[in-house]
Amino acid sequence: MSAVIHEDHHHDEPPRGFKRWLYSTNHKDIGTMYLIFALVMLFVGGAMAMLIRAELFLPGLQIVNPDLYNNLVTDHALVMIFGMVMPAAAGMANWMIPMMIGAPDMALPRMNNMSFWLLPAAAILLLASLFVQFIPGTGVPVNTGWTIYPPLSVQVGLGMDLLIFSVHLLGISSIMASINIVTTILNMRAPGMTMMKMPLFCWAWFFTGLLLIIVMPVLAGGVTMLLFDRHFGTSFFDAAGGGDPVLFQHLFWFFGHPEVYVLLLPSIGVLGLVIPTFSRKPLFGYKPLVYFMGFLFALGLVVWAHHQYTIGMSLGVTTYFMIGTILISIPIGLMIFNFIFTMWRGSITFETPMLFAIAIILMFSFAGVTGVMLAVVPADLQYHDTYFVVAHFHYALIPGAVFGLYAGVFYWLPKWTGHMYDEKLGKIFFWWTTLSFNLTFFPQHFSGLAGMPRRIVDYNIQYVEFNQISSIGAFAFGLSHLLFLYIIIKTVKGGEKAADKPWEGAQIGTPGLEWTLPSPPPFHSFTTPPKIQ
Amino acid sequence: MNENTETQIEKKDMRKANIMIALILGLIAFSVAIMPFFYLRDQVM
Repeated sequence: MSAVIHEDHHHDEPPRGFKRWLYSTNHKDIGTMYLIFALVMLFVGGAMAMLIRAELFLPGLQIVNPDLYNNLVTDHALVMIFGMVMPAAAGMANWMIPMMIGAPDMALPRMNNMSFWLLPAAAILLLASLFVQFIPGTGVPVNTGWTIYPPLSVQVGLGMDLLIFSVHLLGISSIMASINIVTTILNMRAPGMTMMKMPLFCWAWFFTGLLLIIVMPVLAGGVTMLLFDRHFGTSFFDAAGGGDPVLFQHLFWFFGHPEVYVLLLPSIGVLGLVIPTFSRKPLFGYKPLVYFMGFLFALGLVVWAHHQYTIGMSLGVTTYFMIGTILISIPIGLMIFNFIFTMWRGSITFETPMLFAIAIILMFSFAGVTGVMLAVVPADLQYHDTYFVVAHFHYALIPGAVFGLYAGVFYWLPKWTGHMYDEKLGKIFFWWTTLSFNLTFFPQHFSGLAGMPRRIVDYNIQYVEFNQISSIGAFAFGLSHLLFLYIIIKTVKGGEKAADKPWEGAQIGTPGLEWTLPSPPPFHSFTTPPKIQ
Repeated sequence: MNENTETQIEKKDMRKANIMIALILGLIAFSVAIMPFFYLRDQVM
């Protein structure tokens, strides 16, 4: 640990051909692969969403049968969560954290390579779980929803086994990535870069990594027990054998609820950079924001059963989970106030990342309001398993996580590629996605309140109008991503040369060291650590 | 590469410390993963 290395054996030129990517231990290359993978999965999961909305355009059966519909719902969630949002956030972490803290690379570069290359294998298994139903004799499709509750998940066909193996690989991948990121932040900071000098994005990923290390193994354990129940004669979740199907629900949501913060926190980290940059003011309350994230991390671990109010828990237990859940609105509300106070009296300009940041504050707050409604037990018993819940979590996850990633992409594209993106197209993309997103999901609050159940292929004729508006919005939302793809390709291919610090306000407040590097940065950055004054 | 050599210092070899922290975090993950299996109580094997 105290040994001092005097010579560098790095080469500035990257290896050529496929070996550069297959054997890569370079954090920027692995970050790029994560981001490309996430982009591909965005379109895969998006295609599933388009099929779902096409089916729901009219009542009755139009395009898919009920089992295939439910399988699409299952895989849409898993692809978007594990295949798109988490890899995209991990890609940003890989790219930016070492550069922000002045590290030459991630702490464990070979494990970094393995973390990524498990993902394509997991994606193949996950998609195979969808398509295997077309082979005769493979049993009922995975019609369980992403929660894969037993006893249904014990009864369905081969697709469930493929899905379980996929979840194993995804879990191992994200645990290894999290260990790597936490270790990098703890050990690889340049001299003088104390924890409280790190950009907020690093803190956000620090807590995200810790959350994943604690909760992801529980899901892995739960699905392994499910696999044992399916094939090895155990009855962990079978009441007839002395087991308890509700145990799986607890295991799933002990993972599933913190997972919401796993998806959300990296975006909060991005907001902590974007808002000060384009407000040209230091972040208001940096330290409190770190503490709020820690508070969110701790509270997020102990409120999982608010997803299970209808299973018949005791009054004391439901009251505890209700109060705990409502308490979560405190750190999140305070974070939102911090961001608003950062903007207050700032010299604000409205570049695309800032537009997304403002949209996140508005729309995520809306999800917070419906979240408090759902946290209240007597009300939740009415809303449970309706489209109100679908509307709530899409308002939480699309602005809360996905828009945060879009803000990050537009914020860092000049650094990554060395070219400025087309600002006009960026703004068109922002307005197109924001309007179509609201057109898709806002009506679902009303269809839910009117009683339309979720995860259902057919519906009563009274819900037609709401569903048609939703479907039209969804098609527009899906189509907008072709523009997103075009903007990215255009920026990668060329454009106005980006400065080392492409944004005027990028170094206000608690900046990282990424802006001291050229755009794009060299293959090896910080081969000797910089000293922070 | 950071060209501002005036502010650069020699780097330390952090490999052992990195592996140690990774092992501790990995052990935490493994411990959490096996916990559900101990919920056996009245289960018929």
